[in-house]
Amino acid sequence: MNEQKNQKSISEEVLLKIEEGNIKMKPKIRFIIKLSLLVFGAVAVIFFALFVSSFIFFTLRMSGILFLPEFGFMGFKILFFSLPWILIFGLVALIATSELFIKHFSFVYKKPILYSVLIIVLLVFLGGFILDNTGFHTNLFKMARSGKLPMAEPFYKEYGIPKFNEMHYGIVFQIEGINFKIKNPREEELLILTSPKTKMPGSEIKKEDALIILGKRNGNTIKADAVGKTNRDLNIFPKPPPIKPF
Amino acid sequence: MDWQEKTDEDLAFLIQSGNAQLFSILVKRYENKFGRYARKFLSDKEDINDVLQEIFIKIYINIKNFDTKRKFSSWAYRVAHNELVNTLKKRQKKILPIINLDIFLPHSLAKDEFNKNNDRQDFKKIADDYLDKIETKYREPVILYYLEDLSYKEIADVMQIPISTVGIRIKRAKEMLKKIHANLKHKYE
Repeated sequence: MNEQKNQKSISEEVLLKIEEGNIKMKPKIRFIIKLSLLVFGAVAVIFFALFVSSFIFFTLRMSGILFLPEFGFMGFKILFFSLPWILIFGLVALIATSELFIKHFSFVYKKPILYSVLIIVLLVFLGGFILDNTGFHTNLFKMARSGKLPMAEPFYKEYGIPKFNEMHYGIVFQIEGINFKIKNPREEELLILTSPKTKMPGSEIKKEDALIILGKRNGNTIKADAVGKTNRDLNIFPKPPPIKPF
Repeated sequence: MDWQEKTDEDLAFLIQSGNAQLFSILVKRYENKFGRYARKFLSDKEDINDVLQEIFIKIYINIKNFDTKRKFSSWAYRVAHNELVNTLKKRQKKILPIINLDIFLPHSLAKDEFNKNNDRQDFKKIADDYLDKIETKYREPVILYYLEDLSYKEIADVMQIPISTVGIRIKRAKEMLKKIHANLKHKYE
């Protein structure tokens, strides 16, 4: 009886508040705006993650560190320590943020989180790889270097081609006995000094070969510990025009 | 017109259109259900009344966010769930885990084996008696499934967790409750 009286008072109290105008319905537009912001937020974060992911691929490609595993354990070790960890942790944070946005949608929360995380990771990585292969960052990088992209210049300068003291990537343009010169993605000309101790590739080094060199750099000279042939990245080093016959 | 014959969704549509006085019918339809639901988490009568009032105020304020093509009860229980979670957070003053492993990993959906009505009734009694002895995350799906008769899908919408997690939590809760029941029975025999 007492409970009934109490329950009655709850409905009465709520209705009284409505009648007195103390509580008002929120307009539908407010919910539409909120939903739109949520969708926009999710899409924006995923697109930004896609950009960062493609930029990581670009950085790895430009620095040549993707070819490091060809040097075995030593290569893997240098690769691990040379990875752009700040960008990678940033990407993880972006993926986690996108999950926070999309978890409000029923098609997401009704399935285990692992599924949506895997789909985002796959989307971001595949999309990033494809975007990098379109030459998007290479073009931005070239524009930034020529001063046409002042906002992005410091960003591309900092991360575009990371400088490693022990790993170098470039194209051979001159051979001088057992030594040779390469041009790296920064368009620096580096003299590579080899010795009998240097681990050399199986085949002879020729002009226009793409090489990875392990060794300490001193100015523009590198004392090579190991030299390996690798694939020429056509986005960074376009093929030279064919020599016209006389 | 007999408003009592209208469905919850029809009433919600009319309230959205400006018939605010019809909200009293919805309050009357749900105050017992929400009262029972809240009592499984809160013991103080004044707290329960405050929470109930707050739930109905939130439902009224946000009713234009309800899609009348969907089930009103699931949406209303979602509002009630959020209000109870917020109240418990304030009362317990402890941080609830953001991610539970059981919502992260997939599970094979635990089918409820209590198909016979008698078994279900028996379990309702056990659930009602010992619910306060199990964790909130297991308690809530049991209340919604056995005491409030919501489906797994509706519970997933209310708690915003995967359907398979609802199944696994109910299964684990049943095991815990049966164990508690058996232990206590053994103790008093």
